[in-house]
Amino acid sequence: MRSERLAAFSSLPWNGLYTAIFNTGIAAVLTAVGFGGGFVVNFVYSQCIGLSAWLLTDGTRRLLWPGKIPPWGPMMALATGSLFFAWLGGSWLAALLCQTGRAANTERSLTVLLITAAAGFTIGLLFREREKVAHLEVEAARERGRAETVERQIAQARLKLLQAQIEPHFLFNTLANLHALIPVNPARAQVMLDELNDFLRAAFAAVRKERNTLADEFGLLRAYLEIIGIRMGERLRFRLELPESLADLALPPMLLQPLVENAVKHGVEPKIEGGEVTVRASAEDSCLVLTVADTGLGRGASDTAGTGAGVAHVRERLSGVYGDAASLELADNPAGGVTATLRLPLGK
Amino acid sequence: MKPSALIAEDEPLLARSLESALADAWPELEVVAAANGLEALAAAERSPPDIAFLDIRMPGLNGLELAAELADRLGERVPAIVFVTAPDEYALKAFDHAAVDYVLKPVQAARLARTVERLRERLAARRSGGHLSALVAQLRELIAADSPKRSGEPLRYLRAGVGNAVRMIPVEEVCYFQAADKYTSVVTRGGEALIRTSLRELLAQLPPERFRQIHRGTVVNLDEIAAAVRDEAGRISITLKGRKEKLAVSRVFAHLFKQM
Repeated sequence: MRSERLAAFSSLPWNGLYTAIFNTGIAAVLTAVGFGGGFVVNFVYSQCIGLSAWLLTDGTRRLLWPGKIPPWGPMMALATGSLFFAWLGGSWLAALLCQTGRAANTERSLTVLLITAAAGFTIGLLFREREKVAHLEVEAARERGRAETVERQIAQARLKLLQAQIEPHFLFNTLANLHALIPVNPARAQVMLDELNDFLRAAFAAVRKERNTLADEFGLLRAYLEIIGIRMGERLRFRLELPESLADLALPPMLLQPLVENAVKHGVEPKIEGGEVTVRASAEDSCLVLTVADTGLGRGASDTAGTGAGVAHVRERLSGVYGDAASLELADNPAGGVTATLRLPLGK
Repeated sequence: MKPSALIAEDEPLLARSLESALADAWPELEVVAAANGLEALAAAERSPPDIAFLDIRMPGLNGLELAAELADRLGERVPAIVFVTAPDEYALKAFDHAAVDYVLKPVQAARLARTVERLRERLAARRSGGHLSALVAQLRELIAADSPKRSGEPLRYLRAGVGNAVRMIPVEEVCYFQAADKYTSVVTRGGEALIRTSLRELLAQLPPERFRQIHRGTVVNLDEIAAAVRDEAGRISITLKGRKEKLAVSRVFAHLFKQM
């Protein structure tokens, strides 16, 4: 607070110096046109009036509107008042200094008032313009800073999204399986590598895209499940059901992937006999309904019960894109396992 | 007699790959593979191997639990244990102090050769003893590193569904918790109730000064313990103040009941 106050006065000495130079100029011009009693007297008068006018105006407005450009009307009133008092006080002080006798000549006094007003408003306007430019520059710098912050936030969000979607464990295990597969079944290793390639390409594209079609999304899930399928062997079975009529609908990219990952990681993988993952899209009323169901261990059943980070992540994205119009619910299947149901508004 | 090894790995490709790598690095080693923790435990009990290569993440029993069970059930005949792990798993640091070895997936021939060398030395020096206690100490460290981080306020009441009602059970009334398939059984002096939270999750929320894990599937209220008894085979079990049953204490947690 204190430092802000101080900062509001930081340009005051400079304005004072400019005013003094301006005053000197006025004195010189007046002397040149033969007004008053020589340069020294003119100099003293213009400095006394000019500096007090400046001190009153600039000082008061910095107190009243620290760090801001003052509103036009009140500022004009302040300037007019200040100039009038500066003319009175300044003339008196100058007369005292020059020993010229007070208010010797009424006509000349009025001329001084006119000169004071003209000079005062001129320099006032100059200062105002100068300050506006400075303010704009500060504003522009601040705006640049803000834009950089937003950009950084976006970059961080993308990174977070990518990390949320590509678990290190998944990558390491897939690579370990590829390593194992190459000597025994190079053709199958190639297939796995292609699936991994598809999955990674889609994942990287997804963090840059706003929307993906359901067909792309299901393609991505297929690649993901194929990879897990090679790893888990017969323990994983999966089905993807996407009606042709819904294939072109748009949704935020990789929205389903964390749910499928949960179904595998907490459902099928920790179950000794394995299980099935089914991903299904359907239209109901004005909703697009997406379900990820597994026949795995079920919630609260195993050591792998996660922290709910995947589900929280999906909910966060839903509310970011759809507000309250979308929902995600988890339910236990009667026969074991979990079904995650996503409802999105159709046609958005 | 030929040395024998057990591989516990749920991903078939990785199991086969380790098997063939071992065939190259140690041709006379006889290898048996199991696809999950329970299968591996059964195989080890049938004929205890000299060495066990254990994956960490497995259905049924995970690698750490399996190692603890092997230590409990096989005693001094427990195999030399090598954990096979993905680089991101668990506290790799904890493995560094290992009395036994660990290898990272994918298993690389040069690294495996070093492990095999170490294992050969260990098998040769087997009779010197101290093997089991080293394993147990190491498991204690690994299990501590693996336990979920505690979060928030400790739990004060358990909400257990009984028919249509929900019973509120104060935690201090609980004698012990027992993992029961999909549920956790809450045992009080007066009876039992089931809750849906897994024992592992529950453990992170219970007041640690009162509740301790004593076995893979058991967490006990220390205030409810009457005595700890050691049998002739060195196994410890505890008796409770308000219940008749005895609870087995895993070797990994036996240090909680040492005399002062």
